[in-house]
Amino acid sequence: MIDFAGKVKRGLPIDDILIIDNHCHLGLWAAFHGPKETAEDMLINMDVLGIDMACISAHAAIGPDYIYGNNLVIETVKKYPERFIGYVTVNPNYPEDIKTEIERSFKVPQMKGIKVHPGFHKCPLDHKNYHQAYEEANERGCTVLMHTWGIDTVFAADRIASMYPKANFIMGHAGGNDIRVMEKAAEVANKHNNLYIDLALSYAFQGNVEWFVREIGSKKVLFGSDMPFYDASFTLGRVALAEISDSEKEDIFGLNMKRLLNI
Amino acid sequence: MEPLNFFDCNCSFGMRSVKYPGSFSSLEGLIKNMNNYGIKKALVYHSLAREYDMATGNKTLMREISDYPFLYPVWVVMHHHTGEFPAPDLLKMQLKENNVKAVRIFPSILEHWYSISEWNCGELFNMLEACKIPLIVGFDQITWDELYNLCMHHPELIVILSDVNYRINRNLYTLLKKLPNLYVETSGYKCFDGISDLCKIFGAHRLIFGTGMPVLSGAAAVSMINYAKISDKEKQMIAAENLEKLIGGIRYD
Repeated sequence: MIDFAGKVKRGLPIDDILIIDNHCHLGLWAAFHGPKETAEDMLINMDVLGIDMACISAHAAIGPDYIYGNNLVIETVKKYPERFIGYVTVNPNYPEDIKTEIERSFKVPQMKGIKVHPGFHKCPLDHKNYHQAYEEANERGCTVLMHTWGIDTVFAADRIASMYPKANFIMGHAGGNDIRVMEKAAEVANKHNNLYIDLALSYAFQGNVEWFVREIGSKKVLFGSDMPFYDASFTLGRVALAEISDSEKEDIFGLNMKRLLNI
Repeated sequence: MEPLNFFDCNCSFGMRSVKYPGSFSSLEGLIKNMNNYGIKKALVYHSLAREYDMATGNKTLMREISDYPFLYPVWVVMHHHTGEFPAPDLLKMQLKENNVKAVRIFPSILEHWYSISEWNCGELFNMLEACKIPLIVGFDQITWDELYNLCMHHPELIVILSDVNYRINRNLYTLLKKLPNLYVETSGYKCFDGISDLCKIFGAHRLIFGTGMPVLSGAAAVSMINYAKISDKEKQMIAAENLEKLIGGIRYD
């Protein structure tokens, strides 16, 4: 038995289980100030909490410049291969480069997933240009982290997951801040073996982790913090102190993502 | 680090219009979750006072928490000009009689819908300022300019800004620098390393622990403080001591 509560209450790292943070970023952001944002800053936070590995995409890549941002991620995973795993971010507004950017990035062993952000790139999640990335993911059997925010993105994730059964899809933010959308996200996650939700929520509702586990089971729920937007302690505590079993916490914290990453 | 004994400045109980699955509404639910997270005391308001009628909710609050000495009443208040709510002198007596430790306002257009400008709420704020009764107001309830004007007009009024988010530093840092009577409730401040940065620049005394329960996660709220990269002393200040000090300064006479 793991003393999750005792560790959280004493501010000790949860270092006796595998913890993989599926939803992190890296670097500066235009819209607001955050005091820290580098890989080294994140490593300090990860060590304090006991997070073994973080899966990252660059803020620059989900924003204006996917090449600049992806290069930043590639440099980081090469520098810290034991601690970071990279998502290559694709921008559907540059469709001519999607496949080549994925191919370029996946030459680096620690680049293992694809990130899509339909919000900042202002393009529907199932726009035809995104399907190039999903086809690549399906061929490679890799994971796609999708920014899902609003009911349209959840419906789109439902369609996409059924079209590409060899890829795995994570509904980042579990559909957004609206609990009714989260209910739909849970419903569609239950329909597909390859569709998951993560816990990187802006508004972390009381009892939300327990509710998701009841609705879709611990095998479909992933720990994600959105660091360095958020401090990872925010979501780590929600899982560690949740009224669920230790084995369910281990699924969420690391075992599920380990399986998705084939590591 | 020994476990912190938290004092929550931002929680409530009671039936509410929207209750999300997994959450709770009862006083028993609040107490159970406080115990789970190591929260020993709380300033608490009743959701009826927010969502139905202030007087009814405040009265219900007093009745329901009377057997729990670790729960301290927070009243939801408003100005008196429509006759719906007592004038400041009478309100002061009622607050004193009920040993109220803080008040909250919900003036946004989506809730109680009134201006907090001086012409409307000046008398209320004067009374709170004179008595040093902390005023808790949510970030979703007022604008930055309203917050600035409130704190500038009433420099001795203790204003706790609750329910903030992680994107606010470009305005928050300026106001914390200019307004010494402004405090920040921590539950929504999940900015990466944000708590340690605020402590370093403005001091731990400006931060007050809160959870936002039963809507928001108490587990997330305590974890941010437990793991913050600050000293144990700073953690204790944020967890409880700062709030103890503020409510210890209330002067009804």
